[in-house]
Amino acid sequence: MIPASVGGEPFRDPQARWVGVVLASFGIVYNRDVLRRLGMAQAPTQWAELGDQRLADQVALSDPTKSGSVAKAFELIIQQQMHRAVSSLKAADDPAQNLAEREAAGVRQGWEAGLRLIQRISANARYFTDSAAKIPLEVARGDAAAGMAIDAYGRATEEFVRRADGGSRVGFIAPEGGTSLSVDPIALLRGAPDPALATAFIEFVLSSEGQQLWAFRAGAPGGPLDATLRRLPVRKDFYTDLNRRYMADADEDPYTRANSFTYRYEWTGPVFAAIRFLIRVMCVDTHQEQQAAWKGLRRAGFPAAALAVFHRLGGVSYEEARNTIVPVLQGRDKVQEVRLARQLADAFRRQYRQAARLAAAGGRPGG
Amino acid sequence: MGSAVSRVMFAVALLFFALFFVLPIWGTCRTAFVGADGGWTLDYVLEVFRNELYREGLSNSFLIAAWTTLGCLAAALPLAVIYVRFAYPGRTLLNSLVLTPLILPPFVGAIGMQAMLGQAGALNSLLMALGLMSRQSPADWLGQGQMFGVVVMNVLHLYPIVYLNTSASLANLDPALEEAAANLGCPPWRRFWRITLPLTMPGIFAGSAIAFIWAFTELGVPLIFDFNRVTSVQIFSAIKDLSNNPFPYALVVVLLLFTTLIYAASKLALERNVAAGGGRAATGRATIALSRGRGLLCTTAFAGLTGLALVPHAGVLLLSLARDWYGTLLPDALTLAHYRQALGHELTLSAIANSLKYSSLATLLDIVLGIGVAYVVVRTRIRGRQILDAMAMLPLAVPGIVLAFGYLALSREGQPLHALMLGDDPLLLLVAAYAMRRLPYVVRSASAGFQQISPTLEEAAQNLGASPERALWRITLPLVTPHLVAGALLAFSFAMLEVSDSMILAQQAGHFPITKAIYTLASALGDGPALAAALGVWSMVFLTITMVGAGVVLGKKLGALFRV
Repeated sequence: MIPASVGGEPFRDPQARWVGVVLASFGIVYNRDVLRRLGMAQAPTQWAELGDQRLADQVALSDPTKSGSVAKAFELIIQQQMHRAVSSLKAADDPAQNLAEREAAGVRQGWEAGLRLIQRISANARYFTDSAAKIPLEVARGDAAAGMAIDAYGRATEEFVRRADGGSRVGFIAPEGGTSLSVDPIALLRGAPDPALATAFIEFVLSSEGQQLWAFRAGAPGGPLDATLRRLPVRKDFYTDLNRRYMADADEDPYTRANSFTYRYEWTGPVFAAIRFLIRVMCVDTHQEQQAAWKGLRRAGFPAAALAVFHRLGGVSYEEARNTIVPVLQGRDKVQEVRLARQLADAFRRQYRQAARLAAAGGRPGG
Repeated sequence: MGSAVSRVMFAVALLFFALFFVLPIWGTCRTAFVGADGGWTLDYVLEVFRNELYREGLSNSFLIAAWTTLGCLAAALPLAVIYVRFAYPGRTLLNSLVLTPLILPPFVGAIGMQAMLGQAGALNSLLMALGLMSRQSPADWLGQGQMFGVVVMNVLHLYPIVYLNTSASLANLDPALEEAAANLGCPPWRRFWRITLPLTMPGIFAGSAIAFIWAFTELGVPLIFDFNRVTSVQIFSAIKDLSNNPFPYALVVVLLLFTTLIYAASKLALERNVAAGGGRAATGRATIALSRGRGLLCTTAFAGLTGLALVPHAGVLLLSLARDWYGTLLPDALTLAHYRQALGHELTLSAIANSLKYSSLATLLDIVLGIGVAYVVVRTRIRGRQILDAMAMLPLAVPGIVLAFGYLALSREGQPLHALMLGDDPLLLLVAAYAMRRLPYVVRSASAGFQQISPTLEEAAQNLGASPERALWRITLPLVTPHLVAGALLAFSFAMLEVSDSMILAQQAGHFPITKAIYTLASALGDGPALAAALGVWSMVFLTITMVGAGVVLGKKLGALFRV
């Protein structure tokens, strides 16, 4: 009923020390009122749409060095680009490269495409907050049109601002092919004071009745009394027509959706620390300059030369991240880390200023 | 007090300062200046100036402090002049209400402001309803104007302190000097510039210095507005991992350097001005009665500014009562649910209990130390007592974030203050931090008490056979009790609402005091901000009661406690 792993993510411990209870994925939490005002009739369906220039100054983001879940979402954005690059390279029948070489090339290309997409999303950001929960809060308050969030946060916020007429100004979407499906686990601690009670509780949470509480609408038979929790149960056999009648998210088919994305640890796992670090120097520490450049680019109609400078990725290629940046971060020598951060941030700050100048000089207004 | 007891008190106070003032600052400086090879280095401190991020943080902190000080002066100076010079309706009541903004730490007010200044917030809704703003393009006040937001919150919170200092200085001014100038044909404006203003400078400098240093190191407001490019927030972000990282230490040292310079400069300017100024008022000042219209204008100015300063408080109150506050001037539906939920939330009750525990212990410590220091300084001739007096005032000049950082850094594994961590409970550290920060208030009020009570009373008791200790206990202490109570009440209520110590030293949810619980709740999903606001309202009520208590006991001298 609970698979060992789905799409590259483990769902239970091989030694049965822990087991997943509900499913978790990442996605976009958005405010329908703000989107409508910005002239976006459709809610976003893909990460890339967060880089749409119409969302300028209206995207809510958090510093990935302060929030693990936000860092994970950024990692997924990069992985999605890697998947795209790898599959298009594999499809192109180039006899000069074998499959492994094509995959390596795709990972490199996807890395850069992912970082550039993150630059655009970040350029749209209002500013970076310091916790993952502030993203849905800002979206609900109408201070941002959209942001990234773990599904539980997005859906809880949608429930929280639900009006008496049943509608909600907040919505959540998990982008197709852009998020892994993982689990929130439960475990029995070694030396727990009452293991029998704990085991009984774990069994209940995983039972049909327990899983109904996570998924059913408040007030439905077998569902929760007060609040709809809107978590997707881990048990594959839960998704029956009978259960769907009472499920708050009756249309969700997570196990099918999981087929659209496979998490490849070997691509981004080893550079995870570098992703957080790089987003800090490319986007967080240099956000004012990045925002100013983006504003200039938008005004000038994105002249190619200025855009190229904006998107330049000097010193942060996939190889450099793996071979230069990760060792510095793992070395735990903060002096070296701060110096590296300063050098990279200075370079990005300079290039954003240059992009702004180029845009102002070369672009035609409204062009 | 016998001289032996006095000496013991002297030693205890010195030890307290050595452990909780000198040691943390020394420890912080050492890490900032000692390189990996063990030798002295300026590298880390220079890196602060080389790194554009840190440089910008410093210049932003400076700008915020400068604008805040100017804003406070612009608000407080006219009010002080009006209050001292003129008679107008509601004069006494309005003067006592000036202090009301102080009942809430500015960062909690910022949570209320955030709810009102959003794109779908109350202000935009009002402007749209009045037809002054397009529904298609609402302003994002806090999106691009974070620094402005921080300045506004600081000014609204701090101008009462500048007002108190300035009006006290004005009231002490000898009206004879102005009359003399008038007699010699000096017109009113010139008189103000050449006579009144220069003589009021001590008060202006004192108030400005407090406002400047406070705003320069303010942590809570920029955190709530997510304004990361200020030094205090950069230090706060770095405390999660202090091992092998000398840069936060270097930042703290630079911050301390600047505040010390500012404090010293204001002290110097103050002394020069006092030397130049006249003595105390020889004649009483008669307030000038105004015409009805002008009088009401003064009343409006006072009431308007106090009202403006209370807007954040109103925002917090409304947020705590709102079911969902979105796109309307006032919340659509009110509810008491957040108060109920706040009572049931795992953070709130323990936070209230923790705050009460930390603050009352800190106040107790302050009373003991305050009596000791004040007695040694006022009543004894022990050599070096002036040093003790100066030391007791130093915590006013050293920002909370600097001391708190020092405590945190020195209480890590293997550091000298580690023994003070009871497991992971920061109780002793927080008590020491709170006590240190508020000790000047208690020392000052105790000193004032000792100075007012003639030593002859104690001497008479001793003549009749009482021991020095018994004379102190039975005669002097009961007589200074009102002063002590007032100082202690203030110390207690400000400890309850202490921000930087609490934010930095309380790391585990179970040990959070109220302020840290409010900060944590403000970024919690769903109704987090509303719960934070409910807890904020609770602390407002609480602080109002203690401030009114202190005001009743101390009367007009309340303002004297806020001076440098």
